[in-house]
Amino acid sequence: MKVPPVLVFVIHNFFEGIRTRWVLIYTAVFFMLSVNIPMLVLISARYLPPDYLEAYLTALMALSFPFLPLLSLPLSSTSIVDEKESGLLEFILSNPIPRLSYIAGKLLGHFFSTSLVILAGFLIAALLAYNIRLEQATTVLPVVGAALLLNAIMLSLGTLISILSKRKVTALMIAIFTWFLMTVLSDIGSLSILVSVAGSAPFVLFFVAVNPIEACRLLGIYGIKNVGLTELGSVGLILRHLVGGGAWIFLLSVQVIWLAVLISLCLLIFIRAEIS
Amino acid sequence: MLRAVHVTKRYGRIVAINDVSFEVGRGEVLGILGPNGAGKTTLIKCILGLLNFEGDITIDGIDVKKFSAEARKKMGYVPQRLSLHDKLSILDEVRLFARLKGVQDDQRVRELLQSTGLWVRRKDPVGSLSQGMKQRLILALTLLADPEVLLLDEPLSNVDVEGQMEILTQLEERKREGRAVVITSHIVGIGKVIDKALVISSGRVVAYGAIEEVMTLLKLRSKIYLKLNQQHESFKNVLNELRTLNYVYNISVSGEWTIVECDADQKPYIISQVLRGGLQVEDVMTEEVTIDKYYFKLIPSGDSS
Repeated sequence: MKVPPVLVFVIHNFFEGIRTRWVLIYTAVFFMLSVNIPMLVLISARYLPPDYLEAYLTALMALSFPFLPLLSLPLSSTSIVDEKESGLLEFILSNPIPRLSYIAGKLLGHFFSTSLVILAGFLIAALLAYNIRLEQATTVLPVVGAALLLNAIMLSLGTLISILSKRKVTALMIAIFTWFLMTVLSDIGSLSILVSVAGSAPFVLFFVAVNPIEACRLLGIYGIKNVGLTELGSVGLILRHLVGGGAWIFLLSVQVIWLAVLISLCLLIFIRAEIS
Repeated sequence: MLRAVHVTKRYGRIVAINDVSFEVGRGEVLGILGPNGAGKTTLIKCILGLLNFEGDITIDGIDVKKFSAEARKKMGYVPQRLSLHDKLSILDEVRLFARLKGVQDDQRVRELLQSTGLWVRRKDPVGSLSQGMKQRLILALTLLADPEVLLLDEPLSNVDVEGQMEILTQLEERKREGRAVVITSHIVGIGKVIDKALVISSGRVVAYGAIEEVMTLLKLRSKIYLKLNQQHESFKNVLNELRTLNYVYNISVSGEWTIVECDADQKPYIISQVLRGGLQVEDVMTEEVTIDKYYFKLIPSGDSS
């Protein structure tokens, strides 16, 4: 049976992704983050509060979401530019392969490999450490969904950086700087300063919406049942105040637009790019 | 088979390829000769559709611009930079490219690795291969889908003499199979295998045609080195007689050697003429004249690097 080139690339990039040393290290670190030690002590002492899962997930999201892009950005931002620099890209594209298959295979393959790491972090930790029951899965799924959405956005952003860069080092530096910018932007303290400036509420909305890290964290929290207002943080509260019950729809829409725009740019630019 | 008409490639104001036209038929080898930066690789990348360009390039009638994937099905490319997935095993690398080229046959993969002598090393990572072996692997990958046109960009640059000989032998074989071959080079070595030459400099065509035509343009002649007794009484007379022959162009004396420039097929007559004049030939050397050794003479001064 003839395998379509896009599937060949998906499989190749998936295995390439999970073989990357950085991804392996990240998996270990992410797993350690997921299985947090204070919670383990509470479990062993049978002092778990009734809403432990929600509390754990909220804390985990606040802790891990800012670091999620550190998995996807370095991997994707160096992938194409590395092949461009070494000359491998021109050799691959000299074959009768549509460029769309190559770029789609790259995006999907990396998405699956990094998603596996995220799923391993969230789900295995939840299953093993907290003995989660199937009926509680609905609590975990929105968090995993938000993490995967963030992962997809960051992979697309990294791939776009990789397409536009001429050198691997430059691409990596731009990616890390972008991560830094986003984590600083998502810092609640800095946004609080914005809030304290009179009439800045629309700014807050804008920053929350354009910053996928904070937006996806809020999306995850909105998805958890029985979450108090305190877990939303100051940004989430303002958003709730301004947009009301539809805050999660607003956040989700903007993130989907992010993803659609980034993927479209990747495809359009790469398909027309000259391979020199 | 491969036809390029008025191909021009610009990078902003810089014209990398300027109105280049050529044609390569089945079983023909075209050598694109020129110094570094002449535009040889750019031209190859235009043929592959990796770069945008003005003009037309067709492979067996298929427009490279409009149907690039379709045209690439008929092409195989060996790049100058020998880069593959270094962490993959040789077998996995061949399987990957076989799938990308739509080659389903595992037997074909096996045959290919056996014919290149890489079957025993199939489990080794690609990164462990030497440059020569890597080039052999790339050539094998290129031939996986039986391309009708082979494009080789500076294939002799990265390999040792043994590797160069092997590539030239491979080229001869591909030529015999009826494939059209385009090979670029800025170094000596491909002269014997090419049928046509396209000499380019600064993106412009300096000379193009069958090898004999370009050789005539270059006024390339064979040289025969004769060790003669220069004190012999008839030495000067013999040289004067040789000078009257219409296939002898120049005669000079360098140390104990007498150098005669003549048409390549007239060398035996030169020797018999010398012997007839009463001189003994103590030693003979001939210099093989191939286009790749002398193409640079066509390039305007200041263009070569």
